Amino acid sequence: MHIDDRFLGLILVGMGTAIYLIARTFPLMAGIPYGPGFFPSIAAVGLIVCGIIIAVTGTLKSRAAPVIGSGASVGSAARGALLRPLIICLVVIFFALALPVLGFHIAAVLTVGAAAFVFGAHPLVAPVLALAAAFGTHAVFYSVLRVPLPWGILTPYAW
Amino acid sequence: MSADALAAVFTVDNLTVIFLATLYGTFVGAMPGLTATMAVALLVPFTFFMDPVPAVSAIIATTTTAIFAGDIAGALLRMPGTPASAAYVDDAFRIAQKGAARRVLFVSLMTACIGGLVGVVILAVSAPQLARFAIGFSSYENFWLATLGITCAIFAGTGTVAKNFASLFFGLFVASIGIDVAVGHPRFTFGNVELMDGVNFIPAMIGLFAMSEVLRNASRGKAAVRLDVALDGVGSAFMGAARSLRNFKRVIAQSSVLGTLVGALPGAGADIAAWIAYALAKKGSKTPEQYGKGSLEGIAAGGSANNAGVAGAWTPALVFGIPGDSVTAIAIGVLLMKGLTPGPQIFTNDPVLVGALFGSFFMANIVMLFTGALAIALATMILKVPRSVLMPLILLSSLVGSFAITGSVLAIWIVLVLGVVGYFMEENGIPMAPAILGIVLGRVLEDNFMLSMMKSQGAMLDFFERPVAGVLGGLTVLLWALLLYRALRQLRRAGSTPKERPDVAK
Repeated sequence: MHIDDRFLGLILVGMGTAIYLIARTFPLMAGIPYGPGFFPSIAAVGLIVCGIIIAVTGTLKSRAAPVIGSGASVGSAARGALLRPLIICLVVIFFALALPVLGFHIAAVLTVGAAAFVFGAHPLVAPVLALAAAFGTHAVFYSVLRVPLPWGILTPYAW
Repeated sequence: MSADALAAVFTVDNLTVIFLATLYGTFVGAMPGLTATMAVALLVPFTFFMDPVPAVSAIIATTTTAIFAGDIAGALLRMPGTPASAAYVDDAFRIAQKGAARRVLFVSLMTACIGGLVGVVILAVSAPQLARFAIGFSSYENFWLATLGITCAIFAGTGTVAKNFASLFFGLFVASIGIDVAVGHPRFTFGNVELMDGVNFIPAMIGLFAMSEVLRNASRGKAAVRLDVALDGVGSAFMGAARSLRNFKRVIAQSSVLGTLVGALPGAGADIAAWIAYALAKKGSKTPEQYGKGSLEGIAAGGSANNAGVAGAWTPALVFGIPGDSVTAIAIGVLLMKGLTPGPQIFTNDPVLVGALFGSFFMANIVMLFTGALAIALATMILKVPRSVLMPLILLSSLVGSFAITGSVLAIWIVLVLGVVGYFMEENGIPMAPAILGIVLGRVLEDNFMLSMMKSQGAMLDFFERPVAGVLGGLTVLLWALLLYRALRQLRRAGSTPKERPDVAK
């Protein structure tokens, strides 16, 4: 998702300001004017300065060559380009929340299945892929590498 | 190399790991858009469960082959499989269109192997010497080295100076999350106990490189791979490539040495090595007009330089603990995870590991000849694996791999957040390399700064008093001045952009 440099600069300035305000609340070290807040403050001031430069550069550029017909084209292609990554993010949020509760198998099958649909997999391929990926990953990480992947509600059937 | 190191390289386990890693690296490298760094980031959870030598071997073998395999998609689809192939992608594709795709790929494979071997020889000879020099460094020199490292990353970054710096500062901020070294105060943890240890490096890398790639692919939608290149026979292609290699001896030698040196600059890495070697070869060529239109010589130059750069990047990583590129940044994270601290001491404390690392580099380049030839033979099959199958698998590996490292769901949240950040950064021309160096070197910088401050009781001038520290500090300040000049020039140029150029307001 491409955003205008002017707006990008403002985001960076906002982020830097927030970090700076929080870093100011950190204590100082005895006898030295530097403390836990020193490095985050450098990062914060850096982000603010970069944000201002990026915003100014963006403004100068758009003044020198005005954007004709600005704004994202609102077609179905443009909507999909925004919607699909958003769905993938929601799928990951679901995985994070469902993993401890529903257990790895169910969470993984649903996650891979949903992602496969988003990427346009054939309706018959998606479930097969989801099952194969979940059980394959489980075999590698749980059985071979001994990673304690949670069983969740499937705990009574754990092997 | 000691007998112990040789024994560590030639175990069945280590050789199997190298073989499997070259297969994996070839596959990921060949896929357009999937970078060598992503391949390594996804591999790290597995290395977590390995001994140090196979773990390092796996990383080396994966990178080496992924950088070569990037040429496969470059030649057949005109899409560089990894950014390191971008310099000569037009040459490779033009020749492939004329019906000699496999010949191009064999030239690229052989030059990659030679470049890699030259790189590792230079690494093995120079690194111990540099380490001997660096062993007397104190916190002042280490502070300046880390600063110089990130400054070089800004210089080599692909964005504007302001965007490169923004990326670095973001990385430094991420590195500062967690308990601080000086007084043990929790920073930006918002009461989360798990965040007190800081943002774990591996989920961060997986987020920035793998998750962001999944999001980018989702944004692009379904794109069918269309191959309209006729492939030549494997045998005749191999013989043809071997014959043409003889004509490029000088170019390959020059590019391999150059690639190693450029790779050793922090933040530069294999892709910049390929660009510079390609440009230099063109300058010295008898047929410069062919460059960009199908020059095998150009492919030999870039192909040997990028693989030499892979080895070169390990020099600053091993000797100073300062990564040369994103892959060695991850490798440093892996070594630290194994309780090994890269730096001059590693040469005296773990000589077997260092020797085995050189040996594994050597072996990876040899094994690559076989797996690479296999990949060239099966190139069309590899490229036809659909995205709709590949992307969900990468997504699941990212999530499970990160969870495996920390055993906590927090890792999944880190992957998500940094994945989204990485996606936004790439889409808006903010390069990721400075952020990664910021994340890796942030703690090193802060630890050494605080240590020096405690020693000097807050006196800044002590940072310049020791001779080496003074030179390094002066060099860093000089680079900063140059960067400031460059930033001002970019600002002035933005103000005077001609109105006729419609592409600037994209």
